[in-house]
Amino acid sequence: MRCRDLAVVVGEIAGNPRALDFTASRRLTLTAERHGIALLLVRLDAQADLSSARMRWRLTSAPSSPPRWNIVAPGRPAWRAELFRARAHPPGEWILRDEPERLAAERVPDTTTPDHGDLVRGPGARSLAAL
Amino acid sequence: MAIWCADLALDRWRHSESCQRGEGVDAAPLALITETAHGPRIDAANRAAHAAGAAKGMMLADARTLCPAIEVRPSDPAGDLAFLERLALWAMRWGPWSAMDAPDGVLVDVTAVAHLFGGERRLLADVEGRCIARGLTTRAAIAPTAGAAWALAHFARNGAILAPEEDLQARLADLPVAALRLDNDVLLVLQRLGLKRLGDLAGIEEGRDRTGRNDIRGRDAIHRRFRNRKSPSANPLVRMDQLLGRVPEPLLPVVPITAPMVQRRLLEPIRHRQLLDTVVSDLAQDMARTLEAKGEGARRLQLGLWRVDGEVLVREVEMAAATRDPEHMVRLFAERLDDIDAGFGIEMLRLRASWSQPLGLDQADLEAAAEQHGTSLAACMDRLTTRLGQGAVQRPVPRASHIPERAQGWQPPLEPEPASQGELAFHTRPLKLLDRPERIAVLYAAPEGYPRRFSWRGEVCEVARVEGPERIAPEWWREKGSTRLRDYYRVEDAQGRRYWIYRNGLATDGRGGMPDWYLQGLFA
Repeated sequence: MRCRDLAVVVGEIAGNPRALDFTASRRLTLTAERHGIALLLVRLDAQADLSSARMRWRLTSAPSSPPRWNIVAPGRPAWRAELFRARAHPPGEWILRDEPERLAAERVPDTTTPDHGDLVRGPGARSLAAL
Repeated sequence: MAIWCADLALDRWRHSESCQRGEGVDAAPLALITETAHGPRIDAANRAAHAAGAAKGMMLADARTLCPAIEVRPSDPAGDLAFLERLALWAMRWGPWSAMDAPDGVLVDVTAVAHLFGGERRLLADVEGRCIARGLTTRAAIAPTAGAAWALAHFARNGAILAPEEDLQARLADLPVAALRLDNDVLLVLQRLGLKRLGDLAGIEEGRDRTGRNDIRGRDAIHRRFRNRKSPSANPLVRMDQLLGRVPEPLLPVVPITAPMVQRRLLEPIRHRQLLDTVVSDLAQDMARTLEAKGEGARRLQLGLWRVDGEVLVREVEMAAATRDPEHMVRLFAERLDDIDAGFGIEMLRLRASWSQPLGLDQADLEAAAEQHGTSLAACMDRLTTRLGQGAVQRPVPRASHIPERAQGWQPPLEPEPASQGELAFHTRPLKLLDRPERIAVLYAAPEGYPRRFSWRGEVCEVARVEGPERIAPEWWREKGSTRLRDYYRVEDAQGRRYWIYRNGLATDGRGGMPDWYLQGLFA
């Protein structure tokens, strides 16, 4: 992450490995902030444990919006995203939809959505604790 | 110019025994032998052994009956070849390039260089003088073609020169057909046909018989006999054309390649890591200077550590892009030096760039902060590779295939992407593809229809929405004819989980019974 040519780093970790404890996550956060690189940690099948991530999302699948021409076909993907811990934002829950040009967010409660969710993707039906 | 070392193996042996020809150990009959399946066979015999009746190619047992006093030493063909390569490099003193002519000759291109030595005759005299000084028995000859020079060196008197304006065919007509560099069985055939001299063969080639009358039949017969022999060493007609310069004969020149190398011999063996790091950083500085002088950057570096007790430890790092940054080298090696066992100490270190690429001088960034902040991508890749192991850092590239598992391959991170045709983007492909498709049990209304429900990894999924099929035919040019087509369906269940499943074949395609269902991918 100290590399100046990178824009985003995406890591994928299954479960709760022992190596990723609070110290490790804190070091990752600090390095990412110092070098201005967005770090996204996709955690499959993980329990929400201690982490120093600035934003932590829980992501599950949601039924897709029905397409215009074929009612029985699966439409554009949708996710149910829950921001359960963040430093600068109040927590909330949204339905994210993958529109052709942008990521649309409908809020389940009322808050504005920071546009970070489009980078945090995971397969459906897995609990995700993303940074 | 062809130089023939007539007695290479024995000359090397004499050199190792440091005796002159016919003196000391060499005065007694002696032969160099190799062990074969039928017993030892003589590779080379010295003059005394020749006088006693031993010859090259003879079994040692036969030679012993003729000359019971003969002594034997094992021959060393690999050493001879290595020596010949060094000799070929040395022979570049007489011409711009030289080629090895295994097993015992060297060819040197002396086009337009003879005047530098005062003419061709004096060039040959120089060759002979220098070879004798090295203790080599050589015969050299100069001719317009490599084949002719070889023939003259082997079968004409020593120091033969064939000028370009002379008639090649007339000069060479008296040489035996063995001068054509042919295999033994071909020589035997020619001998049985009664063709003993090059002149005989040349006459037949031109359609003349021995009395000078025109006769095409002989030429046709020779041509027919050797029509299947494409290799020059098995076809006398091709060799004849090469000898006379009618067809080109490419030679493989010997070029010395010296890898940039720096080393430090240490006064006092080192045993501690801190000192080792200092020496490695010194070596890296030296290496950077050496590489900069050559305008190159290293792709692979080998660090050899010679221990006092005779062990050599070698550590190798490979870079994703050519570099000569000493700090980067030191850092890469620092990761690999943790498990070094110094024993009683390390007395010599040697750093060698076994693979280097041209690398120009870089323009430094105008903004000083940009240089100081972070590392370059190549350095980042190098560090990851050194830490995670060779081949652990890779990137996916698209491949031209419709079969999903073949549609992408992996390559080293900074290799340029191979050219590929743009794909039409209307196919929906899942974000994740399983390593191998997993078999699922599917409930359906009709065998050709949509799936209703399936179970995967012990979970039952009710299909809420489905789209398909997208039919992908097997690649007949790659797979067996019995491979079945695949009908892919995009499937979504009530919770919005999206899967990519396929049916392997149709019930009626005649390539097996009822088709199986597989789950291959997961959508985002």
